[in-house]
Amino acid sequence: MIRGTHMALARGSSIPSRLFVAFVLLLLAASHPLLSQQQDERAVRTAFIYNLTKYVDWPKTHSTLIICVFGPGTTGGDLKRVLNGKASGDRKLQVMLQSTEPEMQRCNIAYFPGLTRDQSHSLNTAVSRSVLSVGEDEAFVREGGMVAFVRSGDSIQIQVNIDAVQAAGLTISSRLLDLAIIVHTKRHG
Amino acid sequence: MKNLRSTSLASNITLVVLLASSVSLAVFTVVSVCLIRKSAISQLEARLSTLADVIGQNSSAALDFNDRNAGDSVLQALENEPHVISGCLYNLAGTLFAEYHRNSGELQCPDPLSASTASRGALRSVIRPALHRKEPVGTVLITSDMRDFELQEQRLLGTSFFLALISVLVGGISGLLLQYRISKPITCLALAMHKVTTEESFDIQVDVSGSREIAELAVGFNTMIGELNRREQRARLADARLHDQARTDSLTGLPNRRLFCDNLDKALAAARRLGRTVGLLYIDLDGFKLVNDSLGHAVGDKLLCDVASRLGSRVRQSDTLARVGGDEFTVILTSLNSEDGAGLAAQSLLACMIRPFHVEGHEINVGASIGISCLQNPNESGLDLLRQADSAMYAAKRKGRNRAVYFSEDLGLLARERLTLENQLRGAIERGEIHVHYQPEFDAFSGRIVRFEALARWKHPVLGDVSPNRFIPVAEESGLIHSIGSSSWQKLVTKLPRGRVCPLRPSRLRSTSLRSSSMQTISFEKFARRSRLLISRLISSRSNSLSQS
Repeated sequence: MIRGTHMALARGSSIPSRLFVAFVLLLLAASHPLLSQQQDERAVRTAFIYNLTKYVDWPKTHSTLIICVFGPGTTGGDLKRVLNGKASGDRKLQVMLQSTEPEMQRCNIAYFPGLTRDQSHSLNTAVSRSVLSVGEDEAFVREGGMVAFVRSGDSIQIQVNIDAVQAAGLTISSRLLDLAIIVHTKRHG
Repeated sequence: MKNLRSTSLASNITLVVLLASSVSLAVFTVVSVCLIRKSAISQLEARLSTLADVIGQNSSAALDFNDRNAGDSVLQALENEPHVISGCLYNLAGTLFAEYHRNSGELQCPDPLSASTASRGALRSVIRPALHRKEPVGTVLITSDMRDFELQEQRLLGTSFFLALISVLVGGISGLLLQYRISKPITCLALAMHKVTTEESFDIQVDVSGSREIAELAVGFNTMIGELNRREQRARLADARLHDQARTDSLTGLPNRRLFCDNLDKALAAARRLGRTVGLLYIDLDGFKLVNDSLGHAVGDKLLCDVASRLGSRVRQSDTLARVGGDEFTVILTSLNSEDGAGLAAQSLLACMIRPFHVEGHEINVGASIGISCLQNPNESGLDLLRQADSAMYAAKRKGRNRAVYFSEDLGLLARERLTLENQLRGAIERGEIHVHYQPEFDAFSGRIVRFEALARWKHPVLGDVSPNRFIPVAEESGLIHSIGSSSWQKLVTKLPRGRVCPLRPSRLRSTSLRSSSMQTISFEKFARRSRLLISRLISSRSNSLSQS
């Protein structure tokens, strides 16, 4: 269980990281109750996606980790604003908004803020291209998505479709798996 | 052995062994305990650090994804570390994220994390960053209780000291054994030496055992004692011989004057105790000198031996026959009831001397003069008794020899008078109070003087003329007769009366003769030589004076 309170997501040593943490905390603290709840959640999701990059290994090493945002949603903007150009380990993060399926092969993480029927094909493409697909609800992982940050009450739950992850040739740290709910792909027909 | 000083070899050895083992053990124990403690503390700290690192790594995802339950469950693993009492997990902001306490209510985690959470007392804390892929994701604080460890340490220390005590004990016992092995033979030797000194016995040998050096010491001691024993025996033998020689007469085997005096004192003491009397016979042989001079010393010596054995056959076992001078014997008659017993004994001895002696083919008759004295007064000493017997013996000689005479007070007076006279006579000779008187002898037919007889006369300044009958015997007995004879002869030849009375011519001075007992004290040859010298000097001086006139 992951409660959506303030999160720390930065390398402790670098000044920009500290500034980032301070910013997030400030953001969370100064929000309007109603507005802030949504902002809170977006900030947590942003932090979770950032932290996720540290627990996943791709088959190939890249100097730049590209996060592609599919579909509409405000989260994509937050991601772009907070994470674009930020370092995760020795990789640099790059956020691409409004991505399309053909662009999938450039991505390392495909973020689907809201799932539509059309996107299920994209999920399969993600598996075949070793792209980590990240969604926001339980159905996402059941449909073949790999990781979902599912809102459960006032906390956010991590769900992992281990079959899809393994099929994509990705490795997720066992420490993360310890926290996550493991989900298997729903068999169609 | 009892006055041995406290620092004996034995106690020294034990002390050294004990001291050495104690010191080495103390040093060993302290050093090893210190090393063990240091190593244990560093081990514990390393273990705590490792533990904190593992906790940090395992809780990185929980921190990253804000899962407090997961953080708690990771910290729960600390339960398997008995000395860890609390574990605290902080996020990057330093806010408490998860905590674990072994016992509830004990040591809360500081929130937020402060630098003051240092080790204090028995608690030791370790603060490590929680890392994920070398990136810090939070902080881990683990606190450990060292009390158990210190208890263990105390137990270790106790065990060490117990072992050290046992080692010192073992060391002490081995020291005692060692000193026993070393000092026992030495003590035995010392005891043996002590015994030799106190008991004056050289009949001691010590047991040759123990180590080589000690055995050599014992062998050396035994050899030394053996040598001492041999020397002691030799010395005793020589001593006994000397003692005998000092107390017996070598010629006759009879007791000498020394032993005689000892026996006399003993006899007197016994007589005083028993209320009896002691008789003393002083025997002087008559005419022995004649035998000695005419037949030689060898015959004289044999005669003395025969006399000794004959006299010895007549005295009782309890009496002491001794030879106290050349031909002088004494007999101590012990336990006499009366003085008559002494007289009877003297008569018996005189009787045994009547038979002639046969020595080397010579038949020799010697008599004896015996002086008898008996203990009259308990205060009299042996010397008194001897003097009295001596006086009595002289009296016997004067009375015509071959007889026994009791000592009487008169004899004592006589003896004292003689002593006085002797002393005065000695002075008189020196002062020239002895004069020569000439007594002419006439030829009855021709009426002419044929010779002079020179007679010594003593004119005492106080007593006047002293009769030759009084002083000549004294002079003869004391040996002063020689001095008198010599000075008279000097006077005779130097102040010979000349001229009127006797126109003495050298040719007429045919012969001189000396009739005196002084012959006894100077040898005849010596006298003749001196006379010839004097006469020739006289003759030459006379012829000179005659030729001048």
